[in-house]
Amino acid sequence: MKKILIILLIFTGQSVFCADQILSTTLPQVMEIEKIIVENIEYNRDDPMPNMNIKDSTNVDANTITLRLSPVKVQLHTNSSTPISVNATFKELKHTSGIYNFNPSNLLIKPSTYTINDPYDHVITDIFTPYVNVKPDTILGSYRGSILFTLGGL
Amino acid sequence: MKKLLIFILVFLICPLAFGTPQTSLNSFEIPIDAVPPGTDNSTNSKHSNGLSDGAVTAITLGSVFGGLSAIGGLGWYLTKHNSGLACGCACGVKTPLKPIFLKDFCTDFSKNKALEKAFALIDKSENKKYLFITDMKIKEKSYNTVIFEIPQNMPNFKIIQVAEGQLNSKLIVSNTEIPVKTNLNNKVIIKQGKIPETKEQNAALVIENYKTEQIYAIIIEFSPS
Repeated sequence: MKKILIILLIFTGQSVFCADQILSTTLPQVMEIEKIIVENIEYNRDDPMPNMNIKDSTNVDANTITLRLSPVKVQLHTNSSTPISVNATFKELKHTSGIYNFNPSNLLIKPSTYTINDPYDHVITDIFTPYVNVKPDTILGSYRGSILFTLGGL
Repeated sequence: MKKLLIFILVFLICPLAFGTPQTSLNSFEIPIDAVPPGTDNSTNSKHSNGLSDGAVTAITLGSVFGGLSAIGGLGWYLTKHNSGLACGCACGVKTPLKPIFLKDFCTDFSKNKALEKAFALIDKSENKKYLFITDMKIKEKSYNTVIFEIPQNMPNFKIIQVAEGQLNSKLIVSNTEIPVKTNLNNKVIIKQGKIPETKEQNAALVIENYKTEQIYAIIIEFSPS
């Protein structure tokens, strides 16, 4: 067993070394978020999205109004030929004065995930739509929110 | 030794089996002091059927915006002019309250001490109509709304407001606050004004509370010009 392990370790070391060699001479796998697109305006990763706004509102019941925010798309830079999953999470929405924070249960994005089965470079996802449920205790004012986009191979 | 072998194998296989996820955290700012009136899909909103012995039916934000949208942009007025205040109770949103003659008024002052104080200050006349808002609690940093029918041929109004602390009340017609003359009479605020000619059938009384929770009562006295 020890011999096998020693051989494996030597092999591993070589394979890692070889991998470096190959990566330096062949096309590396690229898979990253390239742009965030809000109503045809493109933003870089982690940039603010100043044109995000409330598109309309719907009375869900006597205690809830649902606000639909601007739709968002994600553009990818990839050379992957295998399916890619793009996930969006409405992280938070807080009053700029800190006097009211939305409960995460009242923040949602539909759909939360897109799977791109046949990816290509600069592929753009369908729209992610953020929604906010406004309750009677919501304080009126300016709010700061954030959406987290996550990319992964399948 | 076997465990070490498995660990090394897993270490080798993992990067090939799973792609490295990449993330982007994008922030934004939105004002929720400009909520457009909602499309009213609610089916269980409570509403009042006009003034019933001064009773006020409390309903909540969803119905407020839905109902307010029906009276011409008042929802927009409220959301724009009440920044920093939470929406509290509202009444008359589905069916506006109706001012009544004094002979139709009947209430128990034992549970409405603030209203009793206001009632003592109205000019009691058979030719006038009155809107009674019985003793109500208003939460801190919130506003209440009362939607009511504007009585025909009675454009003059007097608001008699009794509260434990400071409250601001204003009468809104056609998205515009009606100017008033204000007098303070032994901690009772009396406001007088005249509703201009309008095609609107309804108006709103908005009561704003920037201080702590308190109880208040209001009577609006309408009279012919």
